[in-house]
Amino acid sequence: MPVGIFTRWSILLFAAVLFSTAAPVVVRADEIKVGLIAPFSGAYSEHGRRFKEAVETYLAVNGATFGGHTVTMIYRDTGAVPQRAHQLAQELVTRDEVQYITGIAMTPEAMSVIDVANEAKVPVIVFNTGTSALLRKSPYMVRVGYTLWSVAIPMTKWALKQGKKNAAIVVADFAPGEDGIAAFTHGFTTGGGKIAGVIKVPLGTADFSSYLQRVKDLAPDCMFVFMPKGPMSIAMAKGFAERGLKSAGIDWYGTGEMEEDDLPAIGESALGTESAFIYGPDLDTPLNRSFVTELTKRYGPAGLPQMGTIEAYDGMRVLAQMIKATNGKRDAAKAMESVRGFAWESPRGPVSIDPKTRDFVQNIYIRKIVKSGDGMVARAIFTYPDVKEPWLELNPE
Amino acid sequence: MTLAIDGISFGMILFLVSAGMTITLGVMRVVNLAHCGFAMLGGYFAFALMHHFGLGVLAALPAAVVATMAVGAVLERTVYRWVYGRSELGQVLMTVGLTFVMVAAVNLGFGSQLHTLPVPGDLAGVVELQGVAISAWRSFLLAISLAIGGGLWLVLERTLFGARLRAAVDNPRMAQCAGIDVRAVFTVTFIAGCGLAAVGGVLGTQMLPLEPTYALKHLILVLVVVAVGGPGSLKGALSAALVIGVVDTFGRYLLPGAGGFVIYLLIVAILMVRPEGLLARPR
Repeated sequence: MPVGIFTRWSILLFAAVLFSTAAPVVVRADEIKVGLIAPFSGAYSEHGRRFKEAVETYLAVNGATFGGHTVTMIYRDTGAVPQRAHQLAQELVTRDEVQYITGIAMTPEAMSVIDVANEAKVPVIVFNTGTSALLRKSPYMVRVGYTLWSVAIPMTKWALKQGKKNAAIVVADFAPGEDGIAAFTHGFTTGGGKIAGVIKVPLGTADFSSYLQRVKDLAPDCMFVFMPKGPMSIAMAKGFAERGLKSAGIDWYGTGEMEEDDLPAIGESALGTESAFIYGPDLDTPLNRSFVTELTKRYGPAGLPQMGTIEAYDGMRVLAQMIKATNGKRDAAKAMESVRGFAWESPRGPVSIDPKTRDFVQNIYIRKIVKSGDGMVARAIFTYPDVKEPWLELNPE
Repeated sequence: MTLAIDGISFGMILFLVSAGMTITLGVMRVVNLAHCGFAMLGGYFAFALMHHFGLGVLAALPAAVVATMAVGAVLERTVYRWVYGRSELGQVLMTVGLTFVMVAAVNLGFGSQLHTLPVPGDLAGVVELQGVAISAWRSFLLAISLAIGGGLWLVLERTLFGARLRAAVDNPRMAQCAGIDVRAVFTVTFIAGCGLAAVGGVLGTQMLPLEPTYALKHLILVLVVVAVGGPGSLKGALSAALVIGVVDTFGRYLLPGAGGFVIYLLIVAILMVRPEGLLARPR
């Protein structure tokens, strides 16, 4: 049957399209693509914003070329849906051909990325997230944040030091919350304390009145709190004051719930509360002072470094180390090897990556919220230096 | 006691938001899924006013309600005109679409962070009543909602408009024959419903914080209140809202882990026994 003119052109067009999509993506030999997966929209968009600010600052201050290789960051938004991280990671690896994946603000995001990392053999630098067992699930993951165990155990030491005997535990009901319960219970009871009760609050709760009433009825002398930073922490803190728990003599022992950017929303009721955490912009070291100045210069007062900022900044340091060690080549095993035992001075203090467990080793500071100028800050009043991840120490492989 | 006040005040907020919807759904037979969006708009109007003019939440409340009612009136004349004549599916699609527009508009204008409207200083904290600490703000909410509820009852039972509305609701055709402009009555009721929702939205931010997805997130709860109370019955909506508010609060106290789930078990139980709702309008 004769082939009409239309059919001929269609075939040609089709072939052209086929060839153009089949053509290899040209990547300059010295360009390294790095994916960053984080929530940039939704209730947890703070994390994404801070990660980006820190990354951009790091690249500006240290140059976007690491040993002759240019780093291109590709940002992907999980929205408010952590499970999306899996799909985003897959796309980053297959479509964008990234060499490294960074970012990750919440444990469910990290969990969804594990199998992509393992299958594609792509190193993942986890900036935030709190579950201790995470790194055991993939040989390609390294963490620069903290786990609930690493902050809760020093918190128990501090509580016991203050003479507390009876503690209530209030955590958000997800994996790091469970870690928080296990960690605080272990530390506190080993030191002779009693746990008055454990309350798990569903994620996304806005109204804490019933839960706080429960705490009050348990009549503890202190309360260990872990809430994901953001709306839950703020709501809990406000409820704490409104319900009169503070005047009932219950001390608030938290982690990262009250950072400087949330304090205006929480108000005066934050004063006097204590927490165990990895960083505070108030830390008085020359390196931190210049870090704070740099961030606020670039982004104004809203750029004041918080947890997410310092994590991303240190994460970039780790990335730089990996790129230097592999000389820009794709070699996951070599990259991971290069960071075992890697130690450096960060704005948050001396830090390192444990050669045995790949987890992060850092100072944990006990901070108290105090007045400073017209506002409030979390001021470090005590330091537990070089805290290794306690769960991994207690449960060797 | 504290929990009871907490639960009842939560229930009253739910009632305020759902009251308009039960009338539109049960009586005017219009599926208006954008109703929760009006509550959200009310909340955000108040937020904007408080931010720009430094007003307290109570000062911003009247203006926010009026603004929402204005939006409701405009939409009623334009968008809802189409909706009235459509089939149920058409109404659902239209109003859901409207809800998405509201969500996007709010996201654009205010961002995706959660906001609560701060409680006025003298009403924050607890009040000691015979050894029991009760939240001052919640008690205030309770008082205000009872006042509004009382006002509603007064309007319905004691005013000419209320009589006309009840007539139009009981038998629209007969009422039309008797000279009552049923369409006008329903329009006013719709706008009033939006205003009530706005009140709920502004006062209830401690329990239902403002965020762009508010309109969709709490729609389920509003629909539940309407369904369990019986569409078309204000008394039903009130009872359902109170039951849900109290059960939710006590559920979260007694079973913190399962907390939010308890009400759904209750709802299933109620609807299995009385599928038409607690105090449904006989049809």
